[in-house]
Amino acid sequence: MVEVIDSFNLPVEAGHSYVIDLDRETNLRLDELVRKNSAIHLKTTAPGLLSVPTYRGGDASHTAVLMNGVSLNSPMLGSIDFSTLPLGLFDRAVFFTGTSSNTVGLGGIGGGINLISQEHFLDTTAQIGLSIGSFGVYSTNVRVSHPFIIGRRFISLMLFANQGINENQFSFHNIYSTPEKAEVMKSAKVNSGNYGIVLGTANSNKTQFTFMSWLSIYSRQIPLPISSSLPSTELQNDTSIRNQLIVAFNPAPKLRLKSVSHFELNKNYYRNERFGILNLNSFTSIQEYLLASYELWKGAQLEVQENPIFIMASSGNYSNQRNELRNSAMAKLKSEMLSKLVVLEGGIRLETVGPLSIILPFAGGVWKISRKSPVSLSGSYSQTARFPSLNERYWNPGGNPQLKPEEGETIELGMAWKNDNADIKLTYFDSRYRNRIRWLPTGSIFSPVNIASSHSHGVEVHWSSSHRFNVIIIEPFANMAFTNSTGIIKDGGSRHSLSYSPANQGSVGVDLIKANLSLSTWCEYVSKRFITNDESAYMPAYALLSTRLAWKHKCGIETGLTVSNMFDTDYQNLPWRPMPGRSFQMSINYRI
Amino acid sequence: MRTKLMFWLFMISVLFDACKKNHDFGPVYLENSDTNTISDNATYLLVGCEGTFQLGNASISLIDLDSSRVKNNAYFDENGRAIGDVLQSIKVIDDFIYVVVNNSGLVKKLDSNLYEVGEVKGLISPRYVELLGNRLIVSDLYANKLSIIDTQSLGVVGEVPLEGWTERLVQFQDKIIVEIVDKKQLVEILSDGRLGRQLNLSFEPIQVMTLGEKLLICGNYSNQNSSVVMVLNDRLETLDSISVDQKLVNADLIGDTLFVLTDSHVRMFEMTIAEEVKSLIHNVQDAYGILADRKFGVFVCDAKDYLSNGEVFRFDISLTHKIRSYSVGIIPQAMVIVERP
Repeated sequence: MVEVIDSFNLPVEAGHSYVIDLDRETNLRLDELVRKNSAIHLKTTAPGLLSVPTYRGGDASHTAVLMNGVSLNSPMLGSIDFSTLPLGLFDRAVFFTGTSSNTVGLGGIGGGINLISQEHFLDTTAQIGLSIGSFGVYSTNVRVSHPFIIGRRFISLMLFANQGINENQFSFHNIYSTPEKAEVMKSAKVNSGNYGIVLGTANSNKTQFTFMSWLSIYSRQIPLPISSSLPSTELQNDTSIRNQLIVAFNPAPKLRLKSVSHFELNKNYYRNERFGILNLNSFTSIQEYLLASYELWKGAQLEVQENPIFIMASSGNYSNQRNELRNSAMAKLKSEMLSKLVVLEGGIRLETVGPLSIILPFAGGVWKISRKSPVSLSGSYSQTARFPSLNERYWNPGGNPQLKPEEGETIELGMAWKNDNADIKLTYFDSRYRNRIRWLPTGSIFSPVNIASSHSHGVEVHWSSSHRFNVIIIEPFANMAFTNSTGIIKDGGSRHSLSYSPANQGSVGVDLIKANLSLSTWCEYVSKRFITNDESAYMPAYALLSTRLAWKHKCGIETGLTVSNMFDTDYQNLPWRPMPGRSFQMSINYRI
Repeated sequence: MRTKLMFWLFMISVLFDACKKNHDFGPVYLENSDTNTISDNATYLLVGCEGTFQLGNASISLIDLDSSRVKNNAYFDENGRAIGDVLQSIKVIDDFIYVVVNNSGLVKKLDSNLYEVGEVKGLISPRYVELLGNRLIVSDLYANKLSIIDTQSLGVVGEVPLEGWTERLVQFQDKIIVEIVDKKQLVEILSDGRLGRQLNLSFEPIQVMTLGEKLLICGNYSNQNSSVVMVLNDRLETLDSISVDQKLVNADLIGDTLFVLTDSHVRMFEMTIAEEVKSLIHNVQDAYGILADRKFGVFVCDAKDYLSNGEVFRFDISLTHKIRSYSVGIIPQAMVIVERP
């Protein structure tokens, strides 16, 4: 269920941020969830393989992915593969856009997602799931949450395990071969495992401790594009362990304190048998996220964040181990005015990476038309930045230590209409980016340089509503983005559409619910995307229709059948990388 | 009843729809519609365009040097398929055109009409080819060896183990000289395939060519904005060297005249006196390759932003002015002049 963030309380986030309750979406992966519910465009190689998000004409590294406020983007790559994020471990996903990225973290020039886990002190839940699908997809999920009391302490324990095998043996239409022929995808197998524990304790209503640990193991074959005549010989193994200790402390009614201590160990083995390459890339990241919020006077709140990050990274392609200290600090003031009809917010973020610092101001406001009116208007301005990743600076050969941060500036104007039955949001955005980083050949090697500038503007629409007709509940929804994004790759060059940035994109669907039975049908549409900077080549538009039928028995068994790409549409997100046709996925979950 | 009927009509329509395929779902290259023809008996510049890594959009453009007409995607038109992924180099040997397609691991043998008569398979990451006797020698980025190919059967008949990234090759007397880029070395391959002399360089080799009975090598110094042109004898001993105050992109020779391409200039060196005699600001966005021809002039490839269609600029041989430019495929870099019989 998509729930629009209350614009009235969060002026800077008011533009186009929303939250998704993940409890109802247990059978979707995050990349599928994003496709269904947001205007983020995903460049997906194949199911289960690399899936990177782009937002409003930005790059993958412009989308920040956070876990309880702490960045998960790899400091080496600058981005994270969406297909490796399990939904079962989290309770909510908060989507936010460029202007609001300053209020939650760093690096989200285009926008981002904050994945939030919660403690469950009130009830015991257990969920066991099994899913079998076309093309050799098997997965199992177990999630158990149980509260108990030791002495006078409330304890909540949640255990999560997910294991999957995805053979990815889907048939596709090889349009590169002569004559064209039907083939079956090979060398795209993915094995995955995610294991997590969330342990929470509340000493009193003032203090709460939560410990979270998440082990993620992925191994995958990387298929070559069908334009390559060679067999794939690339293999990749990713192992990461992420631990978080969250302490929430409310010493006084007006003061809230929160600390998130994050430790991540991440290892990536890449092997290419054809080229004889065996590379180990690894990093350790230690982060501390501190948040203090104080009510200065009634209706006025001061919030301060501090997020120091220490990174140790090594790679066969670095000349030596790279240690780096980063810091991200933010202060903002929010104030209610005119009998709470207007809320204003303004602040500043200071980003520091090594010797480089950058100051990023932001501000926003919301005006509710009248006390009874469902309509509110919002506007915000923000400067954002992304510092170059370690690979961009130190990859040998090619790394460029002289790179400057990419910088962006965004204005958003929004209108929201919210009542008991419907949420409607209309947002206009205008973003300008400079010093964008591109890898270009310099002699016989590629090297990243600050060259490009770009301008994106457009409109995003979100609509969801709920209507009851006798015993049937109908919940239609729509998420659409109309984006005009253009850029200049080199100084003096001409302005053209940005590559892989669709002008129109969105999903439209409806959920029908009758007692224990629900039927969801949704259609995703992605318009033509140019793949060259002079607009001389493009990927055609496509639309995919999917549906899901689910039945919940009162004993706790829930069964579901999802048919994806019902019309068996041929499509590609990346050139010469075919995507699967119609697929079926059956799932059975038992919940108590 | 009506609901059921609607449901089944919907399901049947889904099944029927699945029977027809939409062909327009891969990349669509707007320039593929180029239908210009190159006349028979023409002299043309054959331009190998790398294409974008992993997109399989390497191509060959033909420029009719008399009519100035350009035919892009010429290999595709002749053979009905794309040439592969990352066209690295082109070499004309005995009226056949050998095209090295790096990331496809292939060397293709074409006739003068660009019709493919065969291909060498089983290579890892081929870069350049050169003839040694009646064998083809292929350098390679990752293989740690040179492959020896029979020019008739196109089968791999041998190999020369050689550690490192082997790059450009040149036939020099009865042997082959090969650059090893990552080790900054020149190595001799003798006619029987054995390794001969070896020369350690203080710069990264970019281009190696024969200068009469001598050898000419150009390269860039690491971490410096300068390069060097060096003349060697047949024992790989230095006879002369010229320092250049810019990094060089590539170079080509006509007789004793060396044309050096840098980011901003085409510079002309007279090797008999080892001096620069002329230079021209080329105003090319991203200079990527050079070819000099006594009759047709100096050609410079412009890779532009490496994602868009490129351009070839033509200058007169005296480097006084630009004659014209031609729009070609993505990342043009390998050029040869071929006369159609």
